Amino acid sequence: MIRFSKAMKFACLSAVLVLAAGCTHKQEAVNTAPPPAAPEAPPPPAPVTSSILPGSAEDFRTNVGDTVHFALDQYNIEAADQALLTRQAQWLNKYPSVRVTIEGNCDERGTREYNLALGARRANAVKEYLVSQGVSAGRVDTISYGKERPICTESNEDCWAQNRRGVTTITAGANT
Amino acid sequence: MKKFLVLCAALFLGLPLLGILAAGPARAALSVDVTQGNPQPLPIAIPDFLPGTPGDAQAGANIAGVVRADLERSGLFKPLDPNGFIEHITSINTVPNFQSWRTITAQGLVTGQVTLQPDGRLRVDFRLWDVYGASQMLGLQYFTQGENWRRVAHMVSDAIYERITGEKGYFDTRIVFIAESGPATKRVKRLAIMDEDGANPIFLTNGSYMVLTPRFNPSAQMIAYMSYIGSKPRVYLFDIETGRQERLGDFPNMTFSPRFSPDGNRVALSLETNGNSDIYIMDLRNRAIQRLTTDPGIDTAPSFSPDGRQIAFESDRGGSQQVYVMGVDGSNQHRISFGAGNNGTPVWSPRGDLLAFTKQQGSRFNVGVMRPDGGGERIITSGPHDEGPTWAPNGRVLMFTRVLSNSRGSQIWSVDVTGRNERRVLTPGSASDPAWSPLIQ
Amino acid sequence: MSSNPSQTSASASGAKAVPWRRSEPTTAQGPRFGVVGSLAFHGLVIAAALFSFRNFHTPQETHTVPVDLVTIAAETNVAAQAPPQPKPEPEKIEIPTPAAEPPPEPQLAEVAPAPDAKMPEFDVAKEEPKPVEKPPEKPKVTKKQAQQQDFAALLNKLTAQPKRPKNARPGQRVIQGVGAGNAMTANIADALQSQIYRCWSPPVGAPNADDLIVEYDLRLNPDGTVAGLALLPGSAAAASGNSYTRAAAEAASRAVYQCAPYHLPQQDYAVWREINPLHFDPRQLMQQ
Repeated sequence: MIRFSKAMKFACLSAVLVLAAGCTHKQEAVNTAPPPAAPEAPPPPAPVTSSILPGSAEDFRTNVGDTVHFALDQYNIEAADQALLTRQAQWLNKYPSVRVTIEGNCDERGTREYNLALGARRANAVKEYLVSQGVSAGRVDTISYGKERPICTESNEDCWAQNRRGVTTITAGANT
Repeated sequence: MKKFLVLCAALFLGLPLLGILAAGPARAALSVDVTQGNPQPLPIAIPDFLPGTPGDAQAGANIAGVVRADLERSGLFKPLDPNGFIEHITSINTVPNFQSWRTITAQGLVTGQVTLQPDGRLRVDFRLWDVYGASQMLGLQYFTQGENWRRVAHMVSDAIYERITGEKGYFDTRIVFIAESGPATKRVKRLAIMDEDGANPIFLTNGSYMVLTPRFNPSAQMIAYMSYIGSKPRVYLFDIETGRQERLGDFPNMTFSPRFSPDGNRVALSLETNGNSDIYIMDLRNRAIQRLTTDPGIDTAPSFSPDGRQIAFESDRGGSQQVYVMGVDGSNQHRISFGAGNNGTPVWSPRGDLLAFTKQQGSRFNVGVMRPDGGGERIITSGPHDEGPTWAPNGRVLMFTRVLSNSRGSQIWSVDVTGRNERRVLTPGSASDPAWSPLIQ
Repeated sequence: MSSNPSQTSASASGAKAVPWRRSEPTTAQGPRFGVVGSLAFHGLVIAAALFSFRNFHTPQETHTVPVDLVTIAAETNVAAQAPPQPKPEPEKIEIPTPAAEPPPEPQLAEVAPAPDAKMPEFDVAKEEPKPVEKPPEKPKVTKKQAQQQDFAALLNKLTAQPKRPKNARPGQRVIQGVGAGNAMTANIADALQSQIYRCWSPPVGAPNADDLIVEYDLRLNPDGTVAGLALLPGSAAAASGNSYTRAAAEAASRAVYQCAPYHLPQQDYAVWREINPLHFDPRQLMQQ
């Protein structure tokens, strides 16, 4: 433990020095430029999963999973995603004060208006599945973003597949 | 008796001769058919407008510059380089030396004058001359406030365009569009408006919520568009003069894809219910709502015919996205697009003869036109991702969104209905969803 | 598009299907008889046409079409083979409108006072500019119309006839005053067409292609310059009520003047001194 801590300290110190050196160098190079913003401290290491608060949005995202995917121009829930949605329903049934919004998204291969409608179909398909698993319809809203919110921006099949998605996001009632 | 015989003989012999004489015209005439042509931009000379007073020189140069740019952009005119002009126009009230303009191949000549009036207004006079015909084709005069000089220039362009081509111009119009910024995953989309030539761009919304698919009303004073404000995607109305925004109706779910009727009294839009999108009409005078489609397919992108009697829309009720037409009461819904691929976003031409639409084949998108009966389909843009056409008020030119890629954003382009003269409309940054205003009143 | 295709397409194909025969005797000029002889000859010619002697040749004086037309008339797409013509010489264009039109100077005089008489002030209440009314049309138009009426009377008989018989062959064509119609006249027509079309830029974006069909009476001077150009009455009437037709007529007029002078065989001036109708039809062009 002690050795590890020393190593960590050394690493942190080195990082700060490197960053400081970088700043100094930059200031020298561009005298007339305003001083750059102070460098952000390195982010703390990610907390281990065991520290996630049960019933929180993070719990839902990490331990249940919030995203299902669709085939091109389709909105049926694929068999591979049914288990995920069943887990979502179970989780929602466990935390009955939570409200969610299902976001329906499409890839870029469709006109803007059509994709808004298709995204609505996808969001609704997720909602219906959750409702069929006992989640009250009043707790589930839907919204379509059409092709306006890609998470992957390349124009290839891999990206398109990632973008054709329904995302369950918690809007209220989660533990914090 | 002899006389009678002679007369008979004379008649017998003479009548055919007289007939021949009558049938044969006095001169020869050859008939010639010209069925091939050589469509070329019309060479036109537009010297800087003369200053009415010495202080007006810059205004004269500015206005002539805008007119030259307008006409050049249309693809139908070739404004000639003023450096090559032989005659120096010194007065708009004397007839030009047409010979000198023929020498530089000009077929049209515009002479104009700008004068700042004692009351602060700008007076603009111009004449359009037929160089070969050696005659005046047009002579007009405008008064305006000084800051409106660009609009006057566009009006001059419109008058010249109309006189030469036989159809109304479209330069004194505006474009409402979506200005885009930021990375694709968090794209900021703002409602914006600019002149037809890209000048005077103004943001109408602040970017804190996403907006899509703006459309002008017939008076160009109101915009219908879709807004995600409050994470409730709904159709809104935007009053350009006051800046006031108003949600259209009180729908429980998403409303989108609005478009005004030709009389401006109604808005057709899509309403989504339990994942299914259907087309409705709202009467803006009494807010009454009428449902037009009921099938379980996606029905959206409604567009009125110019006579207000029919609505073109897209539907996937037959298994793929295709263009349909129905009566404005929802009657007689029938598919009209049978070409390859998916076909959507129909937009009726203001002159009624064509529908513009987006054709999708795989990941390739192009704008095309077809007749309202679905015939005569032509692709008029070069792609690879062009969508969302909008018509100039004269039904001759279209703008559309050209998507470069998710990461590189979108641009607005224009193209002649013939497919010629495809060119970019300059916007400040990435832009999409153009909608062309009517001619400004 | 297909409302009236028969007439123009038939005549177009007729013009283009003319096979070129290089040195074959193609026409005959009637010998100089007296009036009676001339009438008899014309009667003979008409009779020949009426009886459809398709390969009727009068084996008298032969007439060889000049060589410079050879490259023009060979195929339907004569234009592509036509040698580039010199730029039109504007100084030879005296009057762009028909011959009886007043010379440019009087027009100048008419135009000069225009600012007072024809450009009334127009005030705009709001900040938005509005155009003033168009000045009244110049009297020139009515003169032109009156003149076209004269033409109509003069050419009534001629224009009443079909422009060109369907499926016409060169040998069937009759050019009054010259002799039997033949490949020579068709070749002159082709030559003229191929010289005009390069300058013709019709408003092809119009919604209705039929609106763009216009017909002129064109008279040429022996040097190939334009002596007179007048819209035929039907086209003039159409142009007065349809801005597309007017634009098409003006585009055709610009083409005629811009591409002048025309290079045609001098010895056949009698054939080409008047072209009527000079028929402009962009429908094929718009289908491309």
